[in-house]
This record gives sequence, structure tokens and C-alpha cells, in this order.
Amino acid sequence: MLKHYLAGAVVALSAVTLAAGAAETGTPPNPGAGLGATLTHAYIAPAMQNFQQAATSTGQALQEACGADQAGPSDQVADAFQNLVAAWSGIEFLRFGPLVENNRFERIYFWPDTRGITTRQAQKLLAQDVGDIPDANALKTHSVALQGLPALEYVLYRDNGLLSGAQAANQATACAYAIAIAGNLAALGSELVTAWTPQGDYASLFSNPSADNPLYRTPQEVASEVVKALSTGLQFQTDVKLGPALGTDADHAQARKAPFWRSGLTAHSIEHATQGMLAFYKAGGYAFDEAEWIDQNIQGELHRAIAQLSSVSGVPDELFTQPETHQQLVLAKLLLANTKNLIDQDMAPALGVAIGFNALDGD
Amino acid sequence: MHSMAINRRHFLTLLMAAGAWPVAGATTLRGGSDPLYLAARKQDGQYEVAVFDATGRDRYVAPLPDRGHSFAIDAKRNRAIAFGRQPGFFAVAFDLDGQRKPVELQLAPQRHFFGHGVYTPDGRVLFATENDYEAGQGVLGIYDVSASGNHQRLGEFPTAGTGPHEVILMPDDRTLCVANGGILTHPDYGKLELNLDTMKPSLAYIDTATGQLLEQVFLPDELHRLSLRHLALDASGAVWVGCQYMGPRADQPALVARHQRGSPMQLIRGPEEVVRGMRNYVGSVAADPSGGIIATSSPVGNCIVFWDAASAQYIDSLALDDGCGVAPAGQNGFLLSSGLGVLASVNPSPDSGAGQNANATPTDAGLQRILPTQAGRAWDNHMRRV
Repeated sequence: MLKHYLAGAVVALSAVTLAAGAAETGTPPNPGAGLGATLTHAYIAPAMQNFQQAATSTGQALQEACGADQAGPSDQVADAFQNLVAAWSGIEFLRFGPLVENNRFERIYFWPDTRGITTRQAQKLLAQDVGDIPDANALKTHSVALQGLPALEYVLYRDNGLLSGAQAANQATACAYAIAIAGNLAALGSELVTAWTPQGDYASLFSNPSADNPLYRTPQEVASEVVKALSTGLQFQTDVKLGPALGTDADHAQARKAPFWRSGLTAHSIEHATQGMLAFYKAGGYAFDEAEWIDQNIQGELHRAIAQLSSVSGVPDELFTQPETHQQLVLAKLLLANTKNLIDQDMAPALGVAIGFNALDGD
Repeated sequence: MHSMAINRRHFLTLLMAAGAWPVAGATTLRGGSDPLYLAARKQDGQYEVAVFDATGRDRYVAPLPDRGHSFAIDAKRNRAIAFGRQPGFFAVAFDLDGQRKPVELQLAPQRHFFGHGVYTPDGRVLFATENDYEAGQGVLGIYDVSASGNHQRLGEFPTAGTGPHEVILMPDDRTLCVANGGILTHPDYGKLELNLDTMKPSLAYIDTATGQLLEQVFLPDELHRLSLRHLALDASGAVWVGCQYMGPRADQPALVARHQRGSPMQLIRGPEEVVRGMRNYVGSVAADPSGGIIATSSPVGNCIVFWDAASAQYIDSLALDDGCGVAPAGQNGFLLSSGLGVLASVNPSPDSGAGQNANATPTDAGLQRILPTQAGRAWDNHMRRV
């Protein structure tokens, strides 16, 4: 029934966006040349800065809240963390180059954590005296599970966590650890910003495909990276963030397999990842000659997914188990999966990118 | 999981009805030196396993419940087992001539197949690489494949690592060699790598009779993200390994290794242009009939690279879009297959000029096409000679 509804919705949407799409088609006709430079300038570099700034702001909010007389962290910290999750979600799908070097992805976001390593290690650390807590600089030598957003979420949102309102005995330790994580994330953000400034090491490679470029020889190789980022980014939302938590139906949902379930930012994180991918896609300014429907459908599906995700609200633990919100999330998942198919089957060949049967993912 | 259940019901229906079929006109299974091949494929939207000859003619075709991967082959008893692609939740035992109905192996709880397995030469036991995914440990599932064994799972041996992929039997007929890819996965998350920061791939030699770990070799620490995945034996009995690098693309480490028992692993790099062309990914490894030439395929880099087994030197490269299946040909050279439906043969010569075209983009010169590109046909990663 959902599928039937979806099919109808897509047709209706296509008709609507046909007119709207016409206004946006003043884009360069050559989709390959200059794509890397365009994307760096219009999306990637600002998104990296946004993450770096969000991490810095989180650190400042924590400093202030923790410094204030025993009051404990405040709404400002919760807001800062929410912004940080949104900013991260906007770069999470750029899983190539700087984000995979030096384990940066895992250091920022060691998730999914099927063996509960973050919780186990964070509990151990939080049991220590404040003087034994590593600072941001020392933290980078610790396990990746202790360094990033899942650990910070745990410190803030666990039972009796910093944002619980309760005063835990080890408040000072928790504050020191949270500040260290925020500092580590800001440092990682700075590295990403440096690599992706338009003159940065990686941005230069990505922007200038040529015969002697060690990574990107041709515009097609850049386009291939872009297609892969979108395709795997969408798959990460459907198969990793949503699928396991949704289960087969609401009765079999497992909300705690969702990302950021402790902070209730599950839908928020997926919504912002989708917004990020939409903005990244639009920044490419692709012109599909004789096949404008590709662009219309990709944008339409992403807009619809964002609308679905932004309308999901409820108690975090019940999002996946209540039939209504479960269905909203299932629909969002279908829209994102449909977008992935459009990217793989229509956008990729239109950009001259071949996705092989055996080459798409590792075996 | 849900769609899997539907697939399985559909699959069983296919099997019970007219699903598995010897292909009409295939009167003799094997004639003289005419070898048979096995490969999983997607044909007109259906996943299936095909037994075919070197001319590309199907001899037997059976449906699979999902995408297949590789095989354990018991040529003496004219049978094989097709494994599901990881995370694989099926393995199907079948006769190469389709005489008996295919039988599904029963997987143990909290295990899935990685796609590879091997029979013992006496035909009594099968070893399959499996994931103990809650523990995050690799195991070899042990199955009774004797005439009366009903493919019962007898137990398992640890592989002394995470993410075991291919397992082969060593020339002593008693020792298994397992490529522990080092990648932690959980079926909830498909093939997503969950431990890129702490990967520790290895080759493990394991006694078939006792499960004892006889020898284990690791890579240098800086190559801890180089997943060891596919294996082949050369004429000398050395193990050749095809690797997949999970680190940044700019690193471009060697992707091929050779190992002799008792020695360290030897990484084989080849010309820089060739390393780059393989795009940090080797999908399959095979030796030619003499065991003197090794083929490594890269479906990501759209190329097949040949190596001289004795000297460990690069020989030549060949372009083949989405080319992954490599198997020894009947007399000389290799049979190749691609995700675009191509079946082809090639006969690289060891003295065709080591490195001569190493700086050129590989071409398909020397490739003899047996079956052309076909929209409805996609050969899966592995092609095996019976």
C-alpha cells in the first residue's frame, strides 16, 4: 500500500516540479569539467567550516555551562549539540579523501557500534578522577570510540548525564571529558577545513583532474567520486541508520539501533544528511540534456524525504515503535532508496560514470 | 531479512517445480579435456548458478535465492556448493549434471557465510568461511558432506581473525589456508566496515583434522587496512593473495602478495601505473593451468593484471570493463568473465615483455571474446574451473 501511495506521489510531484525546475536550468552544459572546483566552493568547503564552527561552539557552550556554579550544562549545550549533529550530518556522506584519512570518520563518528564499545569505554573513563581525563590533544591517542559524537552524546544524555538535570557525583569528570571531545572534534574540523579550502591539498586534487593528478585523471573520475558519495551516502541513511531500527514492522522495531537515539536526534540527523546531499547535488548544477526528469526526480524525492523527516516527532524511544511515526520513517526510507536508484541508474550513466555489477561494493 | 524470507520461499518453489534444470541438448557432461566452469550470475533479473563449458554453453543452471558468490567444488564426485554473497544466508549443494535436487545447507544461529568454502579431498567434510557476528570472530563452519551426512553442520574452527573470506586447501591435502580479511561486519549493516581503525588482516594455516592454528602471518602495521581476501596456489605451492585496500585512495599500496609457509609475506607491487590502475581493489585471483602465471582482476579498475609466479614479476595488463571472474583455461591461459556479460579467453605469455606496456593504458588486445556484452547477463565475482 505504501508503495502504491509512493508511486502516485512521485507522478504528482514530477508534474509540479517540471515548472519549478525550468527556472534552475541556467547551469553549465558540461557536467564534468570544473565539477570538483564547483562542489568544493559551493558546498564542501563551507560545510566543513560549518562543522568546525559547530564543534567550537559546542566546546564554548560546555565551558560556560560547566564553569557556572554547579548549575550544570544548559539548553545552550543541547542546542549546540543539535547543531553539531546537523553539521556533521552535512559532511558525513563525503566519505572520501580527508574524511577517511587518519581515521577521521571513525574518530568523529564511531557508529554503528555493534559491540557497545563506546558505552563500555566511556563508562570506564567517567569512573576516573577529573585529573585523569585526557584533554582534547591527548584524547586523539585514545580509542576512536572515545573521541567523537557518540561518546559526547553518551556523556550528555545517559542516565544522570550532564543534560539530565540530575547532579551526578562525577560532574567535573563528565564536564572535562565532554569539553575534551568537543575540542577534539573542533581540531578534526580544522584539519578538514584546511584540506578542503579551495587551495587546500585535497581540494586542489579534486578540482583539477589531469594526467599527472595522482587521484583524479579525468573529469569522469571526479564525477565518479561524486556519484559514489551520493549513492553510498543515501545507502547509509536507508540501510544503516533506518533499516535495522525499523525492523520488519513497528512491533519488531529496535529504536536503539537508530543513530542518536539517546538525544532524540535520530530524524534530525537523517533530515540534515538529506538536506546536505540535496545541497551537494544542487551545487553540481547538472544539466541532463533530453533527460531533465532525472534532475527533477532526484530533487523531488529528496525534498519529499526532508518533508517526511521534519514532520516526524515524538518520544525518541517510540519513534520506531509507534505505527504512525514508523510509517513516516518507512516512507522516508523508500524515498531515499528511490533517490539512490535514480543516482545509480540515471544520473551515473548521464555523467559518463559506469557502476559495475562487481565494482559497486567490496566482495 | 524480510525480503530474504520472501526470496527463499520463491526459491524453494522454483526448486520444487521446474526451477533447476539440465540444459536441453547437453547430452554429455564432460568430454575428454573439455573443462567445465561454475559461476554465479544475474540473468534476466534472476540470480542463478551456471555450469558451462569453455564455449560459454550452459550445461546446467539452477536458481539461487539471492546473489551468489563462489563455490566449493568436489570434481571427483561431480558436485559443488554455491555460497551466497556476504552476508550470505544460504549455501546450496548441487550435482554438476543436475541429477539430484539441490539441497540447502543449514546455517547455525548467529552465523552467515562469507561466500567461499572447500571440500576435503576424501569428500567427507566441507569447510566454509562464516561470521560469528555477535562475537565479531571468523569461523570455519564444518559440514558432513559424506554420502550419509545430509550436510549436517558438525561444528566450527576459529580462523584466528575477523572477516575470513576465501579458504583454500594446500597441496598437502590437509592444511587449510584462510584469508582473514580483518574487516568486522554485522549483517544488520550489510557489508559496512565497522572496525576500519583496528583492522588486522592475516593469513591463517589451519589443520583440517584438528583445527589447530599451524601458522599465521600478518602485514606490517602501516598496512593494517589492506584486507587479504582472495587466494590461489601457484605451481610451487605458494599462496597468492589478492587484497583490497580500505584506506584513503591516495595511498595506493601493493595489492598482490605471495606467501610461502615459514616465510614473511611478500608484497608484489608492479609498475606504479599498474598499481594505480587497480584502484586499490583486487576482486579475484587464479593461476593458469601450469601454475606459472597468476591473474588478478580489478572490476573497480576495469583491468586484469598478470604476474609471473616464479619471479613475482609483473607481466602484462588487459582492459576488461567490470571484469572480475578469472579461471584457468583448458590448456593455456585464462577464461575471464565480466559484470557486463562478457566471457572471454586470454593467453598471456610470460615473456610478452615484462613491463613493456606498463606505462600505457591497458587495452583489450589479446582478448578473445566468447560471449559478448549482454544487457541481461551479469557474471558475478568468481568463475571456477571444475
